[in-house]
Amino acid sequence: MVGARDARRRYILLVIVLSCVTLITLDQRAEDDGPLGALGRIAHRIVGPISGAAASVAEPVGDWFAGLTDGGELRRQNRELKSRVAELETEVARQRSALEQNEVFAKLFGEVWLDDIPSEPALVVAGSVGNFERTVMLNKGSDAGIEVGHPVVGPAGLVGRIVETWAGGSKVELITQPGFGVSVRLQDQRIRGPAEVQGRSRTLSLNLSSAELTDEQIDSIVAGDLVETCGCDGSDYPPGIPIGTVVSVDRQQSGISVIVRIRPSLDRPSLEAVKVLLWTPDDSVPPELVSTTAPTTTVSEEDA
Amino acid sequence: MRFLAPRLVPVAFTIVLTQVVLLSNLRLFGVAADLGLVAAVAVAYREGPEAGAIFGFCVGFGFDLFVTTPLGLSALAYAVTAYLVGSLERGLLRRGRWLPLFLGFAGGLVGGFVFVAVGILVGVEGLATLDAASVQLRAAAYDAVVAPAVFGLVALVLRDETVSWRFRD
Repeated sequence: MVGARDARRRYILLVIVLSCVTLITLDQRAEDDGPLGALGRIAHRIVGPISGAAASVAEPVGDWFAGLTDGGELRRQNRELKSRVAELETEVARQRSALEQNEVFAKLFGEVWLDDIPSEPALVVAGSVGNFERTVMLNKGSDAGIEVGHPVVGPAGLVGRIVETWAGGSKVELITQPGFGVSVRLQDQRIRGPAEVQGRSRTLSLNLSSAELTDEQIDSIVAGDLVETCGCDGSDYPPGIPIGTVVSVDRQQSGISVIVRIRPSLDRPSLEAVKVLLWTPDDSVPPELVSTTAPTTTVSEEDA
Repeated sequence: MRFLAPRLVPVAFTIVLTQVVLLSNLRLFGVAADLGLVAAVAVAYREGPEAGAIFGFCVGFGFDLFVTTPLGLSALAYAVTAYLVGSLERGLLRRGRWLPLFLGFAGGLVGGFVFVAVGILVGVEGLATLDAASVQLRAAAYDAVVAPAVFGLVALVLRDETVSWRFRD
């Protein structure tokens, strides 16, 4: 009797494990397109409105919770931010004229300027549901023209990209999500390359080949340098979206590569509204700029 | 085994909904509690490994619909954890006030371990790190905090009409 019960238990466990393995395999292969993806979209569509309403109630409580555990850290950050604000106010005045000049040059040389890209404003209605993902949920989705892959920008620059969309909402994978990749360029040096979040570090690693750079170029990269999307051929993001700043430059002992670590300027806790750029790599240049499009140069071409 | 579906289906819906719409905003030390996992452990503790594993699978599947990790990963972690707890319970665990806290913490650790281990196998990024281990530990501690309430809810729903609703009668 006991033996039969144990056998039945093991059988149930086996069926469950096999079902899970099948689900994982199907989900990995079909990604968001199959019936399982559709099921997820339906679930989001049902829960989305409740989630938005609940977030407005729960967020103040959540902030209070966070305040309990992060109080010391918040005071330290506040002190640092106050001194940083003073520095930045001076910097803003200097940058304003540079930005105007940059916009003119960008148009002259055929680069996409962000204001020319159609976009959809959206509100952040919820944060990550799981502990192992860095995402936010928006209040606008496929009915507003938002598609998977569209870039999302916020007040500080690149926020991430759309990974799931349904009528009335969408999910954004944040720039700090492990494995997130983007083609970047250093704003001053114009050095380009692919950057990726490795592990759960919250920083992007830009791996540059020493062979393609001179020592002067490497030495010119310092902490604090601004980094933006490069919009290189086939890039998932248009050029010129601010990403963050360089925090460290490490020459590998082998001498083959230089790893530049970039801290994204995204401030998740204060992120309330974003702009979804209705842009895909195929729409690299808005029609009004086609006639002025000039080929972009790459690092290797510049070096050559 | 009693026929539990009419009682547990509403609980599963409530747990998934609470987890998705409420607990994602109530983070402590940067993590959210795994309400579904704790509920599966509570069901396993009360009704045995089969009921726990089936309930864990259903709640985990519901939760998987809302996250970007592969569908079925949470379902597997919840079901296996509940099965283990349900199997141990009969021989090893003694009743007591601190038992829900202990089971919540241990369940959180085991569930987190299964999730991370299988996640690494199927190629989920960022799980093979010290930070992921730290997230697991913090989440397990949070699971322990919510465990008494979840165990109470499960006991209340699964109570026999003739007996008290305390954890185990």
